[in-house]
Amino acid sequence: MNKKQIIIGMILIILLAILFYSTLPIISPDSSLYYNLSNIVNRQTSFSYWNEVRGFTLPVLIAIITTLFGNNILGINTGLLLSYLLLIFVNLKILSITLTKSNKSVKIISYTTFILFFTLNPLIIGYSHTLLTEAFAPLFISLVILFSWLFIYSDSKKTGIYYISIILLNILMWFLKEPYFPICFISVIISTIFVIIRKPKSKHEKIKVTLPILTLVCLIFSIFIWQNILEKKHVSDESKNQSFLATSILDGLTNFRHINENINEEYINKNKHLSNSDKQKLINILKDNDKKYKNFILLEKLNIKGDTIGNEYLLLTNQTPNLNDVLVFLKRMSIENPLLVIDSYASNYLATINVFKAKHIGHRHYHPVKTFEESFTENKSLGLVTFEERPIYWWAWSNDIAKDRPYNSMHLEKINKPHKLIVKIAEAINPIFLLSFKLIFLSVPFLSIYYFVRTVYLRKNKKIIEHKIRILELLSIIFISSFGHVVFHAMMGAIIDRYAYVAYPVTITGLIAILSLHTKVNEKTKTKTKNMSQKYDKILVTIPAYNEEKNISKVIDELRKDFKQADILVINDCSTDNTPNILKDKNVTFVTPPFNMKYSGAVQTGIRYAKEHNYNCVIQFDGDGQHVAKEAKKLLDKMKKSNCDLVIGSRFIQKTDYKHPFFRKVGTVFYSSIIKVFTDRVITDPTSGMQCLNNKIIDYYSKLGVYPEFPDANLITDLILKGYYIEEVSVEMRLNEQGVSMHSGIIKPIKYMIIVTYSIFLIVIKNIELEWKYYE
Amino acid sequence: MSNIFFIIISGLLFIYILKSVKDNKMPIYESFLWVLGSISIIVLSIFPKIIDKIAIKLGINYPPALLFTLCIIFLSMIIFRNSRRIAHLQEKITVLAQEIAILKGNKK
Repeated sequence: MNKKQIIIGMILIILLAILFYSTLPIISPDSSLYYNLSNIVNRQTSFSYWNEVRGFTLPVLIAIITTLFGNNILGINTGLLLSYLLLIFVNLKILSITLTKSNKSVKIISYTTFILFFTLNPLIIGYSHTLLTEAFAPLFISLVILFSWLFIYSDSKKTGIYYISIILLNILMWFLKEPYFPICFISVIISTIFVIIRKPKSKHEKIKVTLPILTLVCLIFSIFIWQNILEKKHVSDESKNQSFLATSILDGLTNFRHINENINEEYINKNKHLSNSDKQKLINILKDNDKKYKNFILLEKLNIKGDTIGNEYLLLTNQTPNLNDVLVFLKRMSIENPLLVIDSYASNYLATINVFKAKHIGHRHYHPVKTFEESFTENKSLGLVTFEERPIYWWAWSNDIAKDRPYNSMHLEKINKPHKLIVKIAEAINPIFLLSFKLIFLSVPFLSIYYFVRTVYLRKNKKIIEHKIRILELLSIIFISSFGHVVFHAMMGAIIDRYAYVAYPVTITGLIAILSLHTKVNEKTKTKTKNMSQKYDKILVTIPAYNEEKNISKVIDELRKDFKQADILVINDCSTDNTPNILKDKNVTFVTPPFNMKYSGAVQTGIRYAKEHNYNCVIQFDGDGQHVAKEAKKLLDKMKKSNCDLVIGSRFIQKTDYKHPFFRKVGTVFYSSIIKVFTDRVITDPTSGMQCLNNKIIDYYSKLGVYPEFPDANLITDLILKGYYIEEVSVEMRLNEQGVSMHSGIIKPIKYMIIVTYSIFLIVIKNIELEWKYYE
Repeated sequence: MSNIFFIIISGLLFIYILKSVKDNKMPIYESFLWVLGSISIIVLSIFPKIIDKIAIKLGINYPPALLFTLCIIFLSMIIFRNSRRIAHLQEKITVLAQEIAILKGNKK
């Protein structure tokens, strides 16, 4: 890792940290799951109080994080950020293995897309509802996929490590969240299939085939131990009527005691703390024929001593009402201070929508829906922080309750509020990610079948490149795992939801890896084609001239004196002054186009002339006296010596007397850095007009649509990307202050710069080639 | 949801323009305005509130009117440029034709 990579890495980490910490909390204290979790961590309850679906992995991870970073929200967020960075790192590793042989532009585009999808993804920005498990799961999955792929190619020393790691990760995954297990296990199966296709010969290769079976055996064994050695304690039996999550919420509200009796009319009438009007309203709700809203929970509000000081009632639904219906219903009933909890389960990853918008509650959701003010009065321990006109569903504890919690508040009100701008950006970007999420998972089945079949077919065939086969195998593992994961969940009844989210990062990695597979390395840039028997005897110097009466005679005299071996051609671009007469007097060959063609047209005219008259070599020269004639020899010598296609006369490759005006210097530096980024070549003076052209380039320029309107750095980029061999030579130039330069004024140079920069980007896009064959 | 539809459409437009440049069907110099236009459409379909805000500041009561106005300005700019260039091309062709006529005459 060189300095640059380290700096970029640091910047990335800082940016991610800003994103993480400004959109707190990722772990919203939105259910007592975390309360239970903290109890487990603090050894106040046993491990198995945690639901058997969720095993020991998460509590252990939380314990490690809290010991390292502190037993508060900030600490947990730091741990999460680190795991997220690890996730990016693992996936970048997967990417870099596949991207080793692409050309540079593709690499840049791939890495940029990758970073965008990771840093801006809704895990950080939108999904306040994310449980901790979903922050660790993508990391485990990426690791398993990487390992199971490397496992195929490992030799006997490393096989053991990968073997054991894969089994361990699979077990951890099961105990993290059982539904995520398929994506890990499927990758193991697929990699084993590829090992089988390769026909294992040695002993340790045959052992590799046993991995899936051994994984399953170890897993079942560990589940058995977990269930029978550790004590099992179920959550309360009230869960029959209500969902697990709601019960947990209620259990977590220590200031409330849950009333277990059946709530009927009699019970309501007996209650001491409700006002008469409220009693009547509740009875009306019970009698309401609309069955949706009949589930009631009455809570006795307790003070710290445990005495009942009041009642609040929760209207609990375990179906999915439309949010608008509920609000209408509430309004109609006009119950005082209701706390509405619509129990829910974020049915799709589009739960991010649920974070920001109040519409389209799909399946079961839970949100507090009534708009409270931000102040937390004693009556309310569950509140809603609103954010302009859209409610954002953060749960915020009042300070009293927060004191009892291990996740102490630390000015929760401040932390809980995300920064306005970030939320706005996130809301705007969210639809794109949701759409991309859907599209990606629509395409994954086809991609997985295609790549699997292709890999098997090519593996059987002998004429293949090993590197590309490896990428294909990796892609197959990635896509089939993602696909299998989504299918598995669909079979379990969950539609594409946050469970499928964990397949998202690796799928993105796979898609970008496809891009690398299909782009051809521009081999031509690497090889220097030898021009056999190149003669450079017929040389033409082209001088485009427009109103250059003051300088043109000097230039021609100089050329005739110092550079005798070349013919001179002046392209008189319909000059309005005395230039044509001077040229006639000097007896110079010159052409006059019928109308003014501007710089690029004039130069191209010269080149066509050269082609027409069979010149071997063209030297472009400026007519304003800035170029020195003696230096033209340097260009020619360089071309003869190194047999290149284009020689640029550079003012900056060695220190010369040329005093570059400041703004021009900025432009030159800008363009040479862009060229370096996209083509990996250092061109110190891309805007220089003094160039020496080969006959190959003469032919190339004469084609239709090649020579641009403003030839500059964009033309050089095009030549490099097309594979022409370019060299630079140090030349001296004069800074001439007479005459009207092409680049005078303020608006013109700016417009010129914008257009040239734009051209460079488009030329890079033009030159990215896609190939569809794997044979070479 | 219509948001997403417009994002797709404007994205497709953008890709189409880039593809035309790539296949040499449109010279790079000419594509600049079109690319600019399609990028602004993409941005507007992601952040539709921009139009509302600008309209309020300009004193337009009905924000979509601003959208139409901008489109019309954009299109008329392109059309004006095109008619200017066509007229210029016409002149150039006339000059070329005259030159050819003279050259033919000279040849004889």
